[in-house]
Amino acid sequence: MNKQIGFFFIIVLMMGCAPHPKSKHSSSFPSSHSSSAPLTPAQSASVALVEQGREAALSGRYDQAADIFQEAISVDPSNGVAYYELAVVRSRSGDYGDAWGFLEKAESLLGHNPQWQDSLNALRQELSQKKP
Amino acid sequence: MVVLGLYLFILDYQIKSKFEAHRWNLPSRVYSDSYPLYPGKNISPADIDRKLKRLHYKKVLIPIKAPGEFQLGSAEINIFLHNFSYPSGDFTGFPVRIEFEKNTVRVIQNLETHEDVKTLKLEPELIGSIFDDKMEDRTLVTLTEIPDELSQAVVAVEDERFFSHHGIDPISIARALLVDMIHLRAVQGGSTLTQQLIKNYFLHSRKTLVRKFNEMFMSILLEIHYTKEEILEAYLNEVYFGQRGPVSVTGVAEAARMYFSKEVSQLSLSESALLAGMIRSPGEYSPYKNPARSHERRNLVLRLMKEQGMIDAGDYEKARKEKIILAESSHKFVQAPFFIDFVQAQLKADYPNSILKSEGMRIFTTLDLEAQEIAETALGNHLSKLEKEKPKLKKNLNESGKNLEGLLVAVQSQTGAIRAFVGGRSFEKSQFDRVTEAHRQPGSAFKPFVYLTALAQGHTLASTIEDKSFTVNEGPLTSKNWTPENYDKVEHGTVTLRRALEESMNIATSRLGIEVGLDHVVETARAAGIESPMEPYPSLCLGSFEVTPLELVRAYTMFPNQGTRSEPLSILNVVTRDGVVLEKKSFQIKKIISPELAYLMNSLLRGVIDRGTAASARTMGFHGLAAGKTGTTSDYRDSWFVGYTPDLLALTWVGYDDNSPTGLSGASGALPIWVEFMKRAGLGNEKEDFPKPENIIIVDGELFIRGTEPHE
Repeated sequence: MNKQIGFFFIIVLMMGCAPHPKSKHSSSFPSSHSSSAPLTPAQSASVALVEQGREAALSGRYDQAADIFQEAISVDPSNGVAYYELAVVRSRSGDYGDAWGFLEKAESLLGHNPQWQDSLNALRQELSQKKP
Repeated sequence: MVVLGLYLFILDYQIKSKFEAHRWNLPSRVYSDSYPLYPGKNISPADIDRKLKRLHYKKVLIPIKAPGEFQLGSAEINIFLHNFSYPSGDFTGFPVRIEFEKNTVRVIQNLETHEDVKTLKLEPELIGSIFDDKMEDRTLVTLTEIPDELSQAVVAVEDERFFSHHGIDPISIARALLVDMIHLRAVQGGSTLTQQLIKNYFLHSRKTLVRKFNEMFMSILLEIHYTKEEILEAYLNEVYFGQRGPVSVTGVAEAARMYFSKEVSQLSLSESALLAGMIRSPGEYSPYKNPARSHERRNLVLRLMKEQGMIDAGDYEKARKEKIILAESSHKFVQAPFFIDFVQAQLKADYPNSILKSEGMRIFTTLDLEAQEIAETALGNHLSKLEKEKPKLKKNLNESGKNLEGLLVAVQSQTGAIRAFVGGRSFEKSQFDRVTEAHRQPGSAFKPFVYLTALAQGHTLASTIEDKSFTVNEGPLTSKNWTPENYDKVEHGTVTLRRALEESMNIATSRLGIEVGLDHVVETARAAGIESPMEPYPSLCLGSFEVTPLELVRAYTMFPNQGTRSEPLSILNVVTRDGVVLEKKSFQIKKIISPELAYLMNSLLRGVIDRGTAASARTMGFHGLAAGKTGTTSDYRDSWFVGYTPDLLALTWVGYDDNSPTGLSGASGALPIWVEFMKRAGLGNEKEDFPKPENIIIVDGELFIRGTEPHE
């Protein structure tokens, strides 16, 4: 039994968006909340969860990362970054059908944000090649 | 001699085959979703208090010191979180403090590290178990997980020479025989733990001489093949500890949970002695039913332990003085039964019932038990109220015994996660799950798909349509005529699409459906996820075909979800009892329409609640952002409401199973249930609008997708 004690429960992470060195879609990840309005509590919690999910993904724990990104979406369904990250991990797990759904949702939430265009386009291109 | 040899051989075979193979059928357990907490979340201490009680946390007045305890203050709760084995890994509980400001979490602090916590999860709640016919609830534990004090207490009171005899205890037997002879019948037990195990395991409980002989020989054989530790472990997992409703509580682990809300490893000496004392007669020594006798019996066990040198005088005195704090006994034995059936039905293909009832699997689901309870109460209360207040329904009940039925299903629109699922009024009376198995006409609840088709073709909310009577062929293969009528029997002339839907006009909607193309309306509905048979007949526009309620829920998810449809999701993980994840499901979404179209639909359906056929929701005290559509079918056979806030979508239906008329419209039958549910389960809905795409503009007070606005 995996003994990752306390993994789900407590994260004390910075709320800013950390770089994502392994990603080939983008060298850094802009915030999904482009407006200058302060984050709501749910948004803050969701951003923290996305960071936690990224940590898991960086360690190759894609299933765990997917769980955490889904939690992030449950807490704040408007978190486009969480959808994008979920699309990335689903794609890496070979679930391209699911990944498409998440990418499209990420596009509808982040598409207006020029900082996200490259990452979204790169993932779309990658998935297009893999789509059966 | 040969006969005796054969007899022993058969007994030996029975023992080995049963003991080494599958000893017990373990029920599979179905869990709710975990519950996220974070600073800023709207939740009151009372809500958390209720949740913690359902999770079998124990309220203490002194500072928390062990997993499973919590302390409630006026504006804070200290919780020592339980350990929990999640599908992705084990969590070890730690103490946290949650501080509140009014009904909002202000801060969460880890009391060990004194650091602030950004997100926290309360573990999933056990919704129910899938039992075999014996209905035994049992969690297997190894001897190492069981405190020595508990094993010793059981040995002390049930079989003090357990570690020295060979399966039977001649001294005890002699004493029992003497008593039996005095009474001229079998009254005294005198059984060793091994004999009790054999009796529970292999033999019926009737006291006969033949059974006694079998029991003795089998006990000796068992002791030859297995160690004392193996036998004791089996005994402690097998032994019966009373009833929880129809379910037998068996084994020390389940008993520790039922009586003390603790894992067996956390039991104190006093609690161990109390449980050991119950074995003789769980009903008679139940701390719930007979606290005084249970208390006396505990003290007797403690005394025996002291006399047998298992504990010293200090431990004895301390344990004797320990106050017995019991878990709050729950009177609700079955929770969300329709949902459990639904989950079981989905698992059927991969996991036959025999496996689910015996392998002790853990099934993690999306259900929110708080929302579920609210849903069950809202549905039950309103149906009873209708049957009291509406003469026709009252008459049906009193004269024909006909019960009004209903359902409520709620999902998180963005993920499709089913949060509440009530398939009918009473599972005891009818197990028919109306959420997934009822095929009913959606009536006007289907109309949004006609309007969506029109908007997708370039119509706007300001476009006009004639609400003026007309007659068409009922269908392509018939010469029969069809003439739609409005509910109020009034024709409204030229109306905007917005007004036509808000007021649920039948004539205008039918005309619009024919104008945009009935085939196209069917295509829209198919894309939305309605799979039931639909024919492109004019009456389709008024929902005169059958759907299942869950289909309709799926179809509506795309509106609050910016045009993306979510598949209803109930099962998240299936895990073996050893923690191996057999199944892992994530939510599935698919983009169906543009966010702009979804936004226009949201605006349209908001109008239904703010001004239209569901405006009574506001007078019933529902505030905040919401959109939805009533549905009433011909002759008032079905009463629907499908409505949503940005985060939660709920569908309610009221009707008779035999499809006879109820006289209820969507607004009078289904809507009040939706309102009651959403008022309590949809808390925290303080958003002012659904996410608005940039391409939406306002011209002359109406919304348009840029480029479709009218030009001078």
